[in-house]
Amino acid sequence: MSNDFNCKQLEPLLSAYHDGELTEAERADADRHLNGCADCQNRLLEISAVATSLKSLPRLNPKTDVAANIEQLIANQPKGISRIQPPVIWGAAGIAAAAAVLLVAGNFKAVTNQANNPLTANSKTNQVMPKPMPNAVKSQELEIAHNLDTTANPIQDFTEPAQISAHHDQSSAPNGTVSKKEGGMPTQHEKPTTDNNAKKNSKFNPHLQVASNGNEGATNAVATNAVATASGSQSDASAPQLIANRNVGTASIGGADSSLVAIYDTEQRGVTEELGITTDEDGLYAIKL
Amino acid sequence: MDLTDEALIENFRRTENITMFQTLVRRYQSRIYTAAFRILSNSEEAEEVVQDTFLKVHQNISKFRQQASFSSWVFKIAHNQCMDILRNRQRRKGFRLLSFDPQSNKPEPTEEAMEAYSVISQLTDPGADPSQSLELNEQGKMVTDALKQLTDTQRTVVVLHDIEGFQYQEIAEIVGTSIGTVRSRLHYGRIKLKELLEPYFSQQNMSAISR
Repeated sequence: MSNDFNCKQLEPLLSAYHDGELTEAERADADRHLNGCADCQNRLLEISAVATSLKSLPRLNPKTDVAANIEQLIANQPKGISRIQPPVIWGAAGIAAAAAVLLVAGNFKAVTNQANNPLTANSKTNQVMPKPMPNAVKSQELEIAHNLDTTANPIQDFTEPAQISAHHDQSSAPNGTVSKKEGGMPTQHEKPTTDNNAKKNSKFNPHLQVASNGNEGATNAVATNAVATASGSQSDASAPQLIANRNVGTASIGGADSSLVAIYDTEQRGVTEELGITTDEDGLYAIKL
Repeated sequence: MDLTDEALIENFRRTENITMFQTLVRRYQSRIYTAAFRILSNSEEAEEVVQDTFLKVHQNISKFRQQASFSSWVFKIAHNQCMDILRNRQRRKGFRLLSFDPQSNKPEPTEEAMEAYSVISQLTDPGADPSQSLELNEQGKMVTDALKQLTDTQRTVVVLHDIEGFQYQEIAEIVGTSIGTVRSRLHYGRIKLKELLEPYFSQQNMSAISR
């Protein structure tokens, strides 16, 4: 059924009418009104005059012929990119590290069921994915790693924190390996309860110890602080989310179902959005999981 | 026969023959420059936008999916560059206003003062190219000055539609909004332009009648 416009209803649609961007029904109604309304016809003519005057503006040319210089511009570009990109990679690695530590710290039992060397255990990716972890949380954490690098195997990222920390830690074993004395692993029979998870994590989980030894650089700071909180606040029941503040020098990770705050800073705009990271006006970075 | 944009991209991806890419750049550089200059009213920044846009296009050419037209895609990148520049300007402007006289007891600048500052800074833009403005006739100058007085979002939509000839749907994709918002911004942008250009239009009508 047709519903004819009055002047007030038609007025905001006049530009779209002029541009042929109304639906058929709207156009039919507009036509009916315009046929009997001189005021609206005049308004339409005015809009048409404005559009015509804009169309008559000349096309401009840049002083520099970019097409002629594009090869040179491209050739000069990679150096600039390589200077800018590393912080992004390290920032992403830092978050991946924190996420990985969270996964390990929050699922101590699964780690203890592996062989004595935790790094070797981590390489058995499907075994490392801990059974006790709630499915929802597991998928969210996988998503963090996936968002950080869609080409990488997200599970490989979980081995990052220990390796990164070990590289920065002068006292730790070379090649990112962890010495046996740090990895006093409990036997397979041990079943840590929720109440003493924190204590056992800090005692037995080599990832935690390596991270806290290697406290150099932002990446390590993330891992260290994240671990500290992860081991101390497992009972935090807030919704899982990752928030990072560039101005805050500490970061914390809750348990599998708590919040994570990490340092994250990069000057490369655009990449953060691709990673699913946004900033608010206070400079807070936020990743929605 | 000229290759389509999409065929040029496909060819460039396959052969990495820079000539293909140069053809694309040549096809779009004036359009991008014109749009950026109309949006930013600054020739240096518009030149920057052109260069940065094509560098980004080159970096991300593998991500281009042919569901969207190349022209929409390249203008979306250029639009993002323009918005970055406008945001930076806003920050600098806020800083300049706030730091103008920190010892002064005068009250904070009013909204009118901010608006006036915005208009003055646009009209006295050091990047405005005098040689470009010499090419404009009287109507062109009037329209160019009126365009500067629209809000950034209105001006962007007006430029993309009335100067670059994009459809509402394409503009919605370029600026990342709904068709309804594009429709509204374009209409109220044109209404404001009509009010600003009214003296000129009535003068034109008068001279047409007297002839």
